[in-house]
Amino acid sequence: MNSISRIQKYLDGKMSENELKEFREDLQKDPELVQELDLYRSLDRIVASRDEERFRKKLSQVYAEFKELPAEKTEKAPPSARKLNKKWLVAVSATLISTLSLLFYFVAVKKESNQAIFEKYMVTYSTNLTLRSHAQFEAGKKRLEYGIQLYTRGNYSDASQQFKMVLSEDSENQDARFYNGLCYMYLNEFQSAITSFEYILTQPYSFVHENAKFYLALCYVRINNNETAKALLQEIISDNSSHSDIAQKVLEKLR
Amino acid sequence: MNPYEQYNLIDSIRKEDRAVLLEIYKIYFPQARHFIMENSGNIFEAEDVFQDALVLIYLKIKKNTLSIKSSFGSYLIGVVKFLWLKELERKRKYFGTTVEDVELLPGDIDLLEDYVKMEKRKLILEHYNELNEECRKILDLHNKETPISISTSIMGYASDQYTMNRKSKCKSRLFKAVWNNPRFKELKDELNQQDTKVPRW
Repeated sequence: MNSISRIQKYLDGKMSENELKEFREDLQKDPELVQELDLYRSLDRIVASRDEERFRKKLSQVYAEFKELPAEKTEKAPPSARKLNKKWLVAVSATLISTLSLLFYFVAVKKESNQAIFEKYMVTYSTNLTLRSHAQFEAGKKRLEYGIQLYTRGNYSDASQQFKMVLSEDSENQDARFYNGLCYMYLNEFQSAITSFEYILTQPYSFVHENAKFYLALCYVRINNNETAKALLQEIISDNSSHSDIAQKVLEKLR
Repeated sequence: MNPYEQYNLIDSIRKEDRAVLLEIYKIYFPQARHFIMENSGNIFEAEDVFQDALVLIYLKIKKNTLSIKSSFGSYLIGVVKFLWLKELERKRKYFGTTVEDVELLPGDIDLLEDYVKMEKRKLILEHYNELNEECRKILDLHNKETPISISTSIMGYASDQYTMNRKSKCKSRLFKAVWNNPRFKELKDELNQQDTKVPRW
């Protein structure tokens, strides 16, 4: 009897006691028979499952849609600030790029204290934040929208209050927590900022993680906890995130 | 999920959320394409590898075996690099392609087993699709646990015994096609060589 017939008989439970004993002994000493059994077993499961096939079809459709996008929307480097909500993306990415560029200058080119680096970074951040019109936001969630408006005007204390109210209703809102962390940074409440960013990092992964880790590192720079800052910066570099380059420069300055 | 709630990316991939997948393409595909095209690949290979990387991650999510210790982006690009390295190994073996050293990703991912499983699945489905329509139909009925009498009726066969025989023959044909495919042997060997050949990043 060839192996396929034996395997089929085995899986159908139609072997006699002796055949079964012999088959099991063969399995012990014949790795190829084990592999044949594995393959035979997996055929039904794999052919029956349509998940992968369906997912591949969806990916092909998505890629077709991606190719139809204007080039400027498909040729960007992968900024970690990008989130799934385009309206948020506009403000955060524009700000981040200019912030990081200037931070790079201040950190990599000039020798400055931790505080000086941080203060210049914070000024840069606030002056380069792209203002967004009210109409850009979808209806609802006015409080978060209002908080961001206050934030962009530099009213961090009131903005923080709005974000806290959002969080009191939805503690898992990582956008509110992230912006609230930034407000704390402006308000020199670094321990609170650290708590916010660290909390985000304990939550299921989202695009805000890379930003949270970066700003967390900067908080530690600001409070002169260089060891923790270095460890975080090293993680950012290892993560190969879009902050890797600037993290490398900051790390070099801290050494 | 409201637009201001933070996005649970993994859950969105599990749900095959089209908007999220498009965003992933927008953010990460250019980087993956750049890597592959800088390392002896072309745009078509970049498309395939990127899709495979997402499928691999999707399958891990479905099986609850995904563990990302860094960030999603670096994980995805790490998977892309891994898959492209495996493809380069094949090219080198079969076509004698000279492959310059490819930048490796330091990290925490060990994908060989997932890669082998995914490639085996691809191979099986490829051969399944090459079966004739009758075989595919009868295997589909079997896999949907259709009662044999109903399968017999649907297939228009004379008896249930004949249906069972046909099903066995079709499955056996699929088995042999996969088993005898050299690629299947390669994949079996991949895992055996794991300790000596594959870098553990």
